[in-house]
Amino acid sequence: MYPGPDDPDLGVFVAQLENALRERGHELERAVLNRRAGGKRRYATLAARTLRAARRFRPDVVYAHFLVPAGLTAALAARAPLVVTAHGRDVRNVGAIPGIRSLTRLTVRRAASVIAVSDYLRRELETKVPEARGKTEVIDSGVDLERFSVEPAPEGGPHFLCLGALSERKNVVRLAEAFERFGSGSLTFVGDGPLRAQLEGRPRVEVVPSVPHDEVPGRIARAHVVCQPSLIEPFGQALLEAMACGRSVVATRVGGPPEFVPPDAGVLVDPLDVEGMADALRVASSLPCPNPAAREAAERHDVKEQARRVEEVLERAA
Amino acid sequence: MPSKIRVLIADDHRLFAQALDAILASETEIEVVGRARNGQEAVEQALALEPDVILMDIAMPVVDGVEATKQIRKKQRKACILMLTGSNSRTDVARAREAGAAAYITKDRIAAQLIEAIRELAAN
Repeated sequence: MYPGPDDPDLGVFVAQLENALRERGHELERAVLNRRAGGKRRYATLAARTLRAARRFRPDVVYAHFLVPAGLTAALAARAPLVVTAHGRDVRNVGAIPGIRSLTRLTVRRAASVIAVSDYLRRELETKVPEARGKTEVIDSGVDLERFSVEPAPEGGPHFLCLGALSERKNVVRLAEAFERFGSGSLTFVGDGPLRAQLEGRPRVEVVPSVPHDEVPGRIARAHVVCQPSLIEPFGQALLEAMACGRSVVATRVGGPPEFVPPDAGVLVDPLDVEGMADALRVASSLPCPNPAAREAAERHDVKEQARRVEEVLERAA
Repeated sequence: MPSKIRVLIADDHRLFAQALDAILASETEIEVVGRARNGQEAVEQALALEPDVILMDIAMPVVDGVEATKQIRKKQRKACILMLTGSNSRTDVARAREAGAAAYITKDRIAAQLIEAIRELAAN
C-alpha cells in the first residue's frame, strides 16, 4: 500500500514513515502497489517488483507493511532479513479467511522482527500466531506534527467530524443515532462505503466523499471534536491526527485508542452503547478547543520518534 | 540455447503460488508449465506434462502432497519432486523422504534456497 495518482490516500502512513527514515539518512528502495484496482493478480506484480528491487538494490533489510500479502511476498522474494509491520486487517484476516493463518505463520517465522501498531494488536497477533511471541514490538505509525498542527476553533457548533470508511466496523450508523440524541450542532462524515445511504438525509448530518490526505488537516480544523467509535480500531490513525490538531476525540475503547487517548483529550466509549456515545459527544464538546492536552498526547507519537524506533528494529535485524 | 527447466507448481494457496510463479518467471532458464491447486491435480498434471521438477506443497486438500508424491513416483519413477514443508520437523522430513521426494525445503527458506534447489535437481 502506497499513495499513487489514482489512490492518494492509500498507505499514507507508509509514505510518511519512509520520508522520516530518509531524513535520518537511510537509503530506501520501494516495491509497492499504489492503487486499489487490479484484483488479486496484482500481488504477483508485487512479488516480481520485490524480486527485481531486491536484486538491484541488495538491501541490508527488507521492511514490509502488512503481514500478508506484502510480508509474505517479501519473505519469499528477498533473501535479506525481514521486518514486517502488522496494521490490523492482516491480523483480523487470520482465522477469517481460509489459508491466511498458515501464510501468516510462514511470514512471521521468516521475519527477524514484527512490529504491531498497538499493544492490543500485538496481543491479538500473539494469540493467533504463537510464532510472533518474543519477536513483536509495538510502534505505531506516528503523526506528522508539522502537517497536523494546532488550529483555532471553528465558529458555531459544536461541529463533529468522522473520517473513514462508511462501514459496519466504523460504526457510523450508531454515531449518527448518538448525534441525533445529542441534539445540536453538526456532524460531517468524510468517507465512502456501503452505509452511505443510511447516513444521508439525516438532520444536520453531512456526508462527503473521502478526500486526499493533504486535505485532512483542513477538514479537522473545521471540527471541534473528531469521532471514531469503531466496533474495533487496531490503532486509530485519524484520532491521533485529530489530537495533533488540538481536537478532542470520541473514540472506541476497543482496540488501540485507550493506549493513547488520555481522559483530558477525549472520551472512550462502548461502541454498542448509543446513549453512552451521546453522553460522550456532550462531554467531548465541553472540552477546550483547541485542546492542549490532546496535542500534548499526540506529540508523544511524533512520526520522527517512531521512525527512530523503527530504525532500531531494522538495524538489529540487518 | 539449452532447454529450459520445466516446473510444475502444486500449492493450494493462491497467493503463495502466484508469488512462486513470479519468482520463477524472473529466471530465464526456468519455465512454469503447470499449476495445481491440490494433490489430485498435481498427479494429473505431472503425468500429462512430465515436468523436470515438481514443487509440491506437503499439505494440500483432496490429496495431500505426500500421497500425491507417492502416486506420481509409482507411475513415473524418474519424477523429480521438491517438497515444500511448513517446518523442518522430523515428521515432515521423514514423510517427504518416504514418499519419494528428491529433496525438501521449508517455506521460510524459499528466498534463499528455491532457485538453487531447482537447478541442482534438474542437473541431476
